Amino acid sequence: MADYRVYVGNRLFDIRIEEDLLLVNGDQFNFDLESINGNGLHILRDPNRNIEAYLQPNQNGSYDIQIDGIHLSTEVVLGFNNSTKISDKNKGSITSPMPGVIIDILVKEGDFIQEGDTILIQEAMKMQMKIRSASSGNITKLHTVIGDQVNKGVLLVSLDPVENLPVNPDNPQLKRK
Amino acid sequence: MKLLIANRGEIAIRVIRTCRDMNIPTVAVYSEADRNALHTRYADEAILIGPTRASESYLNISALLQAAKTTQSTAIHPGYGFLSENPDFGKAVEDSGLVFIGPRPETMSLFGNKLTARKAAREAGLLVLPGPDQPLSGHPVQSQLGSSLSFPLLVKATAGGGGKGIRLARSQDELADVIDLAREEAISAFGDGTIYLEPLVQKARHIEVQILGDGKGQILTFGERECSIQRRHQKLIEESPASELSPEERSCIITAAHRLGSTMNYRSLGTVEFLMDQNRQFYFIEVNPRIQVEHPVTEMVSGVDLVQEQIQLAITGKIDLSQSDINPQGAAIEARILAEDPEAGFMPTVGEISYLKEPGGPGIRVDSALYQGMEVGSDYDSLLSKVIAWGEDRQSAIKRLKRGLKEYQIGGLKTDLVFLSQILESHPYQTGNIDTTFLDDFEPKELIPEETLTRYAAVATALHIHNKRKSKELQDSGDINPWRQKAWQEQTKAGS
Repeated sequence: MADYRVYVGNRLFDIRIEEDLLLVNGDQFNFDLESINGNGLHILRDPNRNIEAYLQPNQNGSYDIQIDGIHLSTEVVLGFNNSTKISDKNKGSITSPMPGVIIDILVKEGDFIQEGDTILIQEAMKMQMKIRSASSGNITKLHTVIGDQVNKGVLLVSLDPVENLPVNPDNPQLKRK
Repeated sequence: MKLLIANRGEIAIRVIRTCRDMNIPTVAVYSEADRNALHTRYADEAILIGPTRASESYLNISALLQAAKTTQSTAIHPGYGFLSENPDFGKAVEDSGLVFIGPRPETMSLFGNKLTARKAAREAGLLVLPGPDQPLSGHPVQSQLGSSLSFPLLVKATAGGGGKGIRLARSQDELADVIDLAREEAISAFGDGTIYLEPLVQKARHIEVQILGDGKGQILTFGERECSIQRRHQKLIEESPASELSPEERSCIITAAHRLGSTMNYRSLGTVEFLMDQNRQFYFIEVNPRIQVEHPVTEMVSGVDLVQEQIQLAITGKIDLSQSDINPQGAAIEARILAEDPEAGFMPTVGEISYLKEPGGPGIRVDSALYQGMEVGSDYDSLLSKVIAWGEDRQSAIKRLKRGLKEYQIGGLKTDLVFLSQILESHPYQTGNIDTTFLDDFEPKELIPEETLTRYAAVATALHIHNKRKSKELQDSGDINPWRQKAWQEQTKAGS
């Protein structure tokens, strides 16, 4: 038996999976999921309706999921009482919050940083923004240099955090364990 | 004969397909970004013409001519966009002894300038929107035009095209600022800041006529297309025939297009564009002297391969068809699949196509440049693909197009697929109550209830994680494969 709390936008689903039982917010369903090519395509069975669900893990621990052409983002934690989303913790990486130019990098590889430290400064639409770390840990890799033009959501810095929450088995950083 | 296609994306593939049907060898050109693009793989030969930046590759006339020379091509098809309406390109192609598959350079120059185009149309007896045939020479506007201006009006670039270089002025107060903006935009987009004013036709419908001329006065018309569903003056959904048009209205617009074509001794494919106002009066707006994005709807109803006719004409100088061969049947609708996010004001989206399934079945045609693994960047146009549906009437074409869009699965980046379905699903669209302001107050309805959709997403995510964890547990529990163990033993034996 395992419990998962899944956030889809503002909605929250508590899902309990047992051997032959699936409960969504306490109601029983007969869903089944099959991966088609290991490439993100899944068939969700409802049980007689076959729904194509295209699912891709994100670097920040959330998932992008596409059903009938509609894109959604989901975030998962283990257990029903854990209210910390993976991406809140954002343990593995620092990504750009908007498109723009990296105008300063205040850390180097190997540095230990505290949660809230400013890591980089990005400029977009003539505004400068401090990008801070959401967690403490060691900088393992810088993926950008000063002057880089980056899109939204681009991985800028990899971080080896002090603690991990092993929930997302797709997260490359967690696979290492 | 060997044909070089001076373009990329779906239109390059479109032209290659017809060439293959005609047994004409093809040459694709590509920029560094398009090294692995579909059009480079579909052509018989492909040749690198320059870096990613269009001005150094797809817009680089000397690189294109050099590529034609290197590959010993004998003709060039320009597609749409890029150099397709550039008279200098047409002239350079013809001057180097190659066949240019398009109108004469003089025709392109004339229609390339919106003011000379208006003048030519007026002289051919077409109704043109009121306004001087002179460009604005500077400020103040008032002294040039007196107090005759009525608002709102459009400030347009004479070199404009593809919906670019058009700005709306709502009142006298903002006119000066809008003119400055339009001029700046026109300079950066077309290298020419000449602008003119045109009254805004409220609730206009965009209707256009496909023509094909032999350059000696013979003009064929292929019926009309309606392209009223637009975002930012750019077409999103096109259909043929236009909905709710009386036979008299249809004949009026087709006759006008025919008259302009024969007055000009028009050569090759072209589209004469009109606006229809609320009094159902047609006004000429412009001529597009090239193949258009929406040409497949005409092909679907007429059964004619327009690109084949265009190439055939360029080779032989003659049109094999006669007007009585063209009898449009049923209705066809095209939807443009864009790398744009309608929820974010049609902002361009980028990403890798991580999963792709294209639609099929009766009455569906897909003209697509997509492939799994393709990196969609922001270097070129956002048009990825087109789905065109044919049906016996407009309603059945709508149903088929809805099916086609539902089957279309593009993973990895946001597109307008769902938005297109929502338009087709809406009452005003279904009843043909459309005009160019359709999207201004369009409120899309959810196609699946949000609760069901989010529950699917949540369950799929939870099950995905659960299954992964389970298979990892299996691996970690020392589940040893006896065959692998055997192989390992053999290997160590051999090594020792």
